[in-house]
Amino acid sequence: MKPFIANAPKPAPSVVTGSTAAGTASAASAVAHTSTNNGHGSNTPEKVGPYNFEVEVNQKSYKVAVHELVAPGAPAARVGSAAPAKPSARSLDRPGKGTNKSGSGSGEVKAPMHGVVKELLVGVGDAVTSGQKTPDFSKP
Amino acid sequence: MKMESEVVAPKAGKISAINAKQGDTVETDHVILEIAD
Repeated sequence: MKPFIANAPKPAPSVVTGSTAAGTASAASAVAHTSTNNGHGSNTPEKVGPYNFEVEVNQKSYKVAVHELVAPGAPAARVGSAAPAKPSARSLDRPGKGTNKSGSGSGEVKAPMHGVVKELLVGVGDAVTSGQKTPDFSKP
Repeated sequence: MKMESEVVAPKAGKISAINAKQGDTVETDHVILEIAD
């Protein structure tokens, strides 16, 4: 087991992204407040921000301000920019319970899993609409 | 546990083929129905 060492140095996070509406809005406005520590030949990183975020941990809300350290002349990462976040490939939104839209427009209705066709609800030549229940399927 | 799933048509059209019948055991991704435009 790895021993716990109090006050051990931790690597600073390179990018912190905000997801709350408040955090995004204030972060977007904070981008405009970039510090102007340039033109003096100094290699000290510029402090950009603060980016304000509201973080919720165990239903408790914390307001945090994050500063980005940027090398002189380098563009800021624009943490929490106003652009909408790209939805993740694995969305938490799931379709309705037990509903499986197969083929996604291909015209083929595929079995979602190994199982038994419980009931065929349509016949050859029947007209169907998108999303219409076709076979009832059950896993043995 | 017995799981039931409703399989729905991915698009509107006419059923052109049915490749399984009631009570058939099918594998995952077996094409049960084909829908033509």
